[in-house]
Amino acid sequence: MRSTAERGRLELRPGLWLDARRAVYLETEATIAVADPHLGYAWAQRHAGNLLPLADDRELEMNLAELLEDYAPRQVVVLGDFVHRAIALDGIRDQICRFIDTVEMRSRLVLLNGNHDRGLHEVLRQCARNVATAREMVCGEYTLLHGHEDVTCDRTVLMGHEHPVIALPDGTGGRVKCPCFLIGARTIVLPAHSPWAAGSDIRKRDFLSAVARRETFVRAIAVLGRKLLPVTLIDPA
Amino acid sequence: MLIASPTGTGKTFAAFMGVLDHLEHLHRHGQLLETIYCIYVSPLRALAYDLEKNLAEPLREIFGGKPPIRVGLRSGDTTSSERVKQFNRPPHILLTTPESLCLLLSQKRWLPHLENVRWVIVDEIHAMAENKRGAHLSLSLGRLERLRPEDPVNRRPIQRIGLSATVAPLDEVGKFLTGTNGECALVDVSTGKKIELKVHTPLRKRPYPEAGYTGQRLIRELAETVRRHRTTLVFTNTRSGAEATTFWLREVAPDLADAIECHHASLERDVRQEVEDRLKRGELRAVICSTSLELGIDIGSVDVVVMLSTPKGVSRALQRAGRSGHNIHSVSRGILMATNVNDLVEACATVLLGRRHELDPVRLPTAPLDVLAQHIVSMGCAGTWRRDEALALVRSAYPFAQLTRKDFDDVLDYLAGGGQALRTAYTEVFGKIELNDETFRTRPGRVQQDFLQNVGVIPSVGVVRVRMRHKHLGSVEESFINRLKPGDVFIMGGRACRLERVSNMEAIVLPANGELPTGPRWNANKMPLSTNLAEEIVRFRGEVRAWIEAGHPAEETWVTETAKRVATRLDCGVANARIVLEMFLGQARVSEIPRGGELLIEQFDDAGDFIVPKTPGGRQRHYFFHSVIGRSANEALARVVTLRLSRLRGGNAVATTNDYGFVLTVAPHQHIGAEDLAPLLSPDSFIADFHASLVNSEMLKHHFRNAAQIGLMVYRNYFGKQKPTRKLQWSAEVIYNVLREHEPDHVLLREARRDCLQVFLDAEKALHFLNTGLHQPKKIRPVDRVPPLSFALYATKIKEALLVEDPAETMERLFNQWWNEIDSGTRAA
Repeated sequence: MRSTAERGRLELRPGLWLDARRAVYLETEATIAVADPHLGYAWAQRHAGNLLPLADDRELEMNLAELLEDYAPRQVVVLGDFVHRAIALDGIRDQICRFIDTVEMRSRLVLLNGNHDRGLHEVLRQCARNVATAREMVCGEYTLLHGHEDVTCDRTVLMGHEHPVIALPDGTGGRVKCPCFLIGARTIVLPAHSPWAAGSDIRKRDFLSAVARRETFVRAIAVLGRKLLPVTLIDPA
Repeated sequence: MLIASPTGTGKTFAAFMGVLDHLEHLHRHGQLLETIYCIYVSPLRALAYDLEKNLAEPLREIFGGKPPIRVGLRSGDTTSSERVKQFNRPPHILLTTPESLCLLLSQKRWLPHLENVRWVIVDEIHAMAENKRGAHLSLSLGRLERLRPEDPVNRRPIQRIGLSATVAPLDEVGKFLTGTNGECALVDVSTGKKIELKVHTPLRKRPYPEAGYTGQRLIRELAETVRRHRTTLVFTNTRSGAEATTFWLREVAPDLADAIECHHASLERDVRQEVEDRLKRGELRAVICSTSLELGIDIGSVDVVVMLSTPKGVSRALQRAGRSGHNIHSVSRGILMATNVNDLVEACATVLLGRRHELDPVRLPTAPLDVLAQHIVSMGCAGTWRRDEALALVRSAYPFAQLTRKDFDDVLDYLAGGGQALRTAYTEVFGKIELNDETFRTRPGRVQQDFLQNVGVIPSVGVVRVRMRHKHLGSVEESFINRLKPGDVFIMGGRACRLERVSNMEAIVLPANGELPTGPRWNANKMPLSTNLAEEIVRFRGEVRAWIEAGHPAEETWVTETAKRVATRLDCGVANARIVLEMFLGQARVSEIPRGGELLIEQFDDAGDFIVPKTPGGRQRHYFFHSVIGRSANEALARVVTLRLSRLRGGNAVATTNDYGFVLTVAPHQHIGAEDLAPLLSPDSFIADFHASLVNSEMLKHHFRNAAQIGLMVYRNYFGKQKPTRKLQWSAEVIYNVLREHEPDHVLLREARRDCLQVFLDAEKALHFLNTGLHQPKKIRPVDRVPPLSFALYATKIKEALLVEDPAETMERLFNQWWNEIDSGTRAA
């Protein structure tokens, strides 16, 4: 397992890099995969009556711009839940356009369907953006998909949907919840790209998807700020 | 006018007398209108129910048959058909709660009914003044005042009558009642009723100063007290404590089991109601409550009140004792049970101050911004407001008198959906209010409807309802259920239940008759020690130290004489005094007795015999800081000291606190010397350091969750349904993280910080302590065993890491072992 000095990146398998900016880079295919950006989360919440702050957009975009700069990928694949809710609101359209434009300026964007993406086509049309979408896609030796639908396939699956987090001791008697990658023999779950994401601790194992429930996860790679920290879940012995 | 007098002295009727007289006069002259003349507000719905019944009687006596003066009740339970009836024909006297009052003020069509109000009676005002509910009510009172039509001749302000039990300082509560524009007459008859407080302890020869205690001995003595009296009311401070006590009391007194009941706020309302009714009818021998029967409703003839955990404050002790002997002529009797020697000293001090009537000062929250946000939306529901006019109104409420223009504008901006820039960039920002430079109003339609379902400031904690077959027993905290696994036995309503499963916010249980509970255990006391109690304890410690230093502690005659002296000083029995003295002698032998005017820090190297797993690298070092400033101030102090220590030495340090001090546990590279005390305990930049220490804390997150709900950032009720709290907490935590990162100055984050600072962590008191102690001597004294006065801290510290044996037993064994060492050490010397 190679990793860069500052531990912001980690090569899990040959050519498969995990990045602390909540992304995966597939070297041979020059592909970046991110999962669950849930764009427009705060706007969707406001639409539902909750007065959430709208301060988070910029971080997501800067993150994305950095990834594009560092890897210069051929394509960026979003593993589902591109938006939180596809509502025709200026604020949501704004965020969608900025995301698409940031990627398409240097690369190509592919959106895989997630359970939150219902109605996305209509909003994309309103945004006058033409983006490739698919249910799943094969990328080298991996199958990329969201994970809300049950599938069986021969390749290793890269999926989202679960928003995995792990609670780690913070050294003062408390615990901090960190987003994490979840590593199994045939499945790798990505942390949510959205800063709004939180989930239940993976050690409780109440997974949403059948794919994840079937898998035995041996390791989690926690994202601590800009660093990655491997945590063993099941001892190989 | 503020009337302060103990419960059962008829102050409610005193308040209503003038009102009824006036209304009768109007009726006689044919001038009684179909409008509300008087509003009575109570923090408890049950009180309003009671009063409705209790007013009906005198009205019938005065008028016979169907009285022309109508009394109406309005609370969250009022059905919609009753509400329509009330609107069509408003009662002359309206009995309500602060939340329902605010709801009426939020509805434009109701305002004409409220224009003629002449009197507002606020019951149990002491219970509200100190918290956000009170701040909420104070704004409603100001708004009610403003509704009165401008009439230069007849214009008289609404008379506000506050009813309070034992409370101090009265004038502060008076200002809270009248607001900044009013005058308040104080009527203090609180010394009129005789209250007898005394201390009882199940402690025998060996004092045992620990946070938990051997329950069985205590329970047996409690059972004796119950047998000796007709009805006993027991306070335990915590819900789980009430449950456990009920369970064990029934075990040791099976013949009385049917007449022993439990009462606390998480029991279902009908279960509680039944207990209250049976209590009133005199059918019960004992009721064990957390704090739920501290206030209000007439509970009939209780002849003695037992406080199982120390009430932590003089006012609370008097209030609780006042629940017995419920009429003006009978004496109220309260027994403070001291279950360890620290409690014994505390209980004695409580009784002393209680007799001298030295009450704990109340502290009003200053300008809670989440409450303000809620009221602004409520005000905007009723019409358009000019900003200036609204600000002036808000400032007329005493808790908001010091509200800054900036805070006010920030709240408006937040409610409008964000700052000016955002509002111009987007056509739709989903604000609660429509705001411009001059005016604001609440957005009509759904925003108003949603708001009406979310009025109130009582935060919802995660609760899970407990169901046994088809009956709901009550609810427990989600966090508690999360710690249990199926098959575990816990107590609910004083009965053992076995957890089957949890689904959909419901815990399904089966009766577990004859089985012992696997949880909850006795809970630690959550209420901080009041300032004047703390001062009294420090004074007492100093006196005992002086006696010991001037005396001959090795001589038995001296010990006997001094025990008598302690008995006189504490006004307690000689046997109790002896236990207290023995502990102080032990303290003097191993260390020294901490006194006022200096800070004692004991340094102890722990071999870690009782801690599993053992600390790698050998011994842990503990520093016991004897700062008697109450739990919440100590917690603030300990946070800052730990933060500063890790800046100074690196690594993390861990602190454990109680009312009497805190213990700092450190790694070898973090050892401190006398020269480090000045920087660690410096008052300079204390508040800044305190805020820095809060940044990552769960506590701030927790308070933010409350502020987010009260401040209407997240609704707890949505489309008439309560949201599952797990989801609510989930989103509040994420919002907290995002805000902290991107908008650290958000009004609701500011409010959460203020709440932590003033209420839950008393940083102001801690800072005051450091300022006073700035030039006082501080010393680190090495000790070779844990001194008695530090034992409770040490016990709390290691309890978490104990072996499988019962923690209470371990503690007792451990303590006795130390005691023997202390004894033998003296003999050898």
